[in-house]
Amino acid sequence: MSAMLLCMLMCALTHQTFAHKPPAVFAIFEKYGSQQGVTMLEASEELMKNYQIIHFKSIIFKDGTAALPEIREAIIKDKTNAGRIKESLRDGLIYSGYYRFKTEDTTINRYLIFKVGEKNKTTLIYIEGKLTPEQLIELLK
Amino acid sequence: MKSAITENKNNQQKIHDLLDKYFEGKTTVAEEQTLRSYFQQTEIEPELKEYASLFAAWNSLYLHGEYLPEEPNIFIQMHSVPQKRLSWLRIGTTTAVAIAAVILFFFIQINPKKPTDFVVIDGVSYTDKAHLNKALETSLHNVRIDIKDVLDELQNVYAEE
Repeated sequence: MSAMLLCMLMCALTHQTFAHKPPAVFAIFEKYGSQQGVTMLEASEELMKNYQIIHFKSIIFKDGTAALPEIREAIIKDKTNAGRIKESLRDGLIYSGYYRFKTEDTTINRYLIFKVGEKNKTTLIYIEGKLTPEQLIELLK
Repeated sequence: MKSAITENKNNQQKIHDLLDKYFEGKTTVAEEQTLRSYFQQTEIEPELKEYASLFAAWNSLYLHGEYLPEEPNIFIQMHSVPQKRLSWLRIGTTTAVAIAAVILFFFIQINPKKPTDFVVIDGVSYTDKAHLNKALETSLHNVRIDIKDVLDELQNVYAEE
């Protein structure tokens, strides 16, 4: 009986921990978020309630040249969990991309948006919330 | 003949009753002696044969002085008390684990880890709304222009769905 309960507890914890496995790009936020030439934003439901977003993370590199290989590598890893992918490639490298992650909870959507601009100005955004793809499009128009 | 059969049945019933009492730890020394005597004989009721070895061992202890007859059924007590404690320990542990599991589960459900709002610019952290909103607008603006074509295409895809 105890073993069964412990097993149930472990299952519950495991489910909580891995139900939404953090995207690989989160490592980029961790590593580069506090560096010079970088702006990292972490926003929760309170700031984003008008957008039906519960978690918003963005990181902007004034010049992402050094970090770009690592960012692209992380994106490639995350692509395996994406149900919807739209990318723009140049010389085989991702320059802009939209990824909608697969999710067990159909009420919550998770998106990753990536863009490399002029002079390798790089922006990476992670969005989690109830907003639909249509609402996201409206937000980014 | 009929009375002999009836007597035999009564004896068997008595042994069954004594066995029940014995395993409940309520037998007297005399009653235990009756049981030992019964299981020493060669004609044992088939369904009671499984207890014969137990009483043989018990009889052996008795003969070697390891059994204390002045303490009624102490042999059983010596073994049953730790089992009772073990039972309570199991019940206690199970209850504690169950309560902990329920509390932890609801705690996690009610208090999911919420990210706090902040923006880090060139290594300096800000939490005021002005900085937060500016960083938010910049982030969205940066991906807005270049990704427009992709999103227009996506809108068509979702419209089809």
